[in-house]
Amino acid sequence: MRKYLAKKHQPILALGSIAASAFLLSQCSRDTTPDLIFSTPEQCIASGMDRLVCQAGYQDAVHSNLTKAPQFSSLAQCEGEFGEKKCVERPAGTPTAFGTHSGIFVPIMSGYLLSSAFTNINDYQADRRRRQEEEDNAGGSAGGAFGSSAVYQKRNGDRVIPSSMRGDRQGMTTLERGQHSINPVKVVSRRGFGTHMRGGG
Amino acid sequence: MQRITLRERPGWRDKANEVGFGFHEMYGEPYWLDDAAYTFTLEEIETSIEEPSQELHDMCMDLVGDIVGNEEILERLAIPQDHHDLVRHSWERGDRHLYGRFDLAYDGTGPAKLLEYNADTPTSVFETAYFQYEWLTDMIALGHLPSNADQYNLLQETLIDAFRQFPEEPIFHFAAVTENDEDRGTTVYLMNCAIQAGHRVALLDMADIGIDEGGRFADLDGRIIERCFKLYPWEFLLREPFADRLSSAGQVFVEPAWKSVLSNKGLLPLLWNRHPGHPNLLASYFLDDPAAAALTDYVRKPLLSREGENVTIFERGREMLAAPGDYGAEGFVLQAYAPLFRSDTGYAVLGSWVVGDRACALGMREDTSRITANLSRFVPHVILD
Repeated sequence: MRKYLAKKHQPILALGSIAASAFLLSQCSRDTTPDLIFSTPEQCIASGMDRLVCQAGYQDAVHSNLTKAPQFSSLAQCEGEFGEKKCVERPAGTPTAFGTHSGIFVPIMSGYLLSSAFTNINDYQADRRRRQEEEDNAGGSAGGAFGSSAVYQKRNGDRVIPSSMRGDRQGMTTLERGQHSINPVKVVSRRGFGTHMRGGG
Repeated sequence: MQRITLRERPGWRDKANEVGFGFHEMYGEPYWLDDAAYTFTLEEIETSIEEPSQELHDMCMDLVGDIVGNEEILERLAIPQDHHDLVRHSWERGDRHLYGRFDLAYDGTGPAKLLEYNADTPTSVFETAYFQYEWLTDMIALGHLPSNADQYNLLQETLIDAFRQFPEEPIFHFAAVTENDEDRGTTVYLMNCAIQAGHRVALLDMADIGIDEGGRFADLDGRIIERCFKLYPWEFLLREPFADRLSSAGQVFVEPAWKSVLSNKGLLPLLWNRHPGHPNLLASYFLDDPAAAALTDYVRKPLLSREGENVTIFERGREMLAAPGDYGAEGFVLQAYAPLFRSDTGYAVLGSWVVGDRACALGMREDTSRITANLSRFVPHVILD
């Protein structure tokens, strides 16, 4: 007896519910202005972002890469985290957040993170100034505040950005998968499906 | 097979609302019945429902290749000519499918008879897989049902297994008419299963699907949609403004385009023609087939009707019962009439689930009308002997 349920476990709901949660609905609402990841300024422009914002963001990310990139004392350590041929040695005397260094290894920047909220260069620069003032007021001098950040891809596929300093080395923040579009495309048309009020049956 | 009544579970509405099952009531009417059940013997389930469902699905899969390779038949099924290649290629590529639900007529006496195959956008999956199981365990705990009561219900675990067969990367999008509570709940339930199979998921409204400059489908965040469950039938997709993009980008959808030939009522005469006299099939013909003249009691169904719309029952050639609706322009089939299980409360249809290629669960719906429509109620089932 109990042919079927003998094999069965109590079913669970991974989201706890079949109601569309606030998180799920936010994807439907267009209210969000997510941070986007671009490989190059060209891909940023192709997605429909403002050209000057794309270029300024890229320059800031390159700048942040010079001073805030995660640092390793050996190539093996760096490649252990970011993968083979994904790290470079910084020449001796390179300025970093901690002064000048010799013999450090950093991952190669794989792209940059930029907020899709910036629709023009004035907004971008105003935001950049605000960040700079915040950092100055906090007495920080970790290489300056940037309007966008360099992104690095770890060997497990995680994407990380430099975060605040922890002890004597730069911390890293892992970007949650699925939360940041990578090289988002420019959508030229919507509402081409969904003219009916119901689809299931 | 019997219909029994029990005392409802105290607080079951709160339980339903807690898990987001707000549509236990729809159109101001109860949809979920907690104080009733259909009972079956294990032998009835095994030999009259599970095995025939598996066989019917295998027969359907055996037929798809012949249908998609035949222009004339695709035309008969009202697949727009511009999309014949889309349907054919999706089958030839082996685009993976997820689930479907046979609607069967069965009253406990003869063999179950196939009424239709909801192979594209079936709902009542959460009710069957999750809430029906919880009902059974609660009823056993309350002492209203014996502790060895069983249920033909391996739906959730089979869905999770089926989702595991899809590659984990990239994001699995889920699209539905999100304003509709039942469609949205069904879709979010399936997202729950996909997450348990290791997928990253995102929900979007059908209308929010966008097109990029390269003709690819994209979501609201500008992410390319590379795989998308859609609770939205192919017969709509093929006739909407983005239909012309489907030939290049249509392979992203689950169910795949080839399912459009199984969810079509034209499947019924094609199956009958291939397997005449099969015990689980009803004699079925396209409307213009002279052989249809032999039918006396029969049902006329539009090729693409949904929720019983435009279905008409004829007895001795005379129209006895007709459901309203907007379908029928694409043509009709005639199917021999099969009596449904009947009780004081109405008529019952069996929803027999196939996930991947495996028959795995049962959900019952009943209606006061012989034509099961959108006011039908979901009733749990239990195996007692």
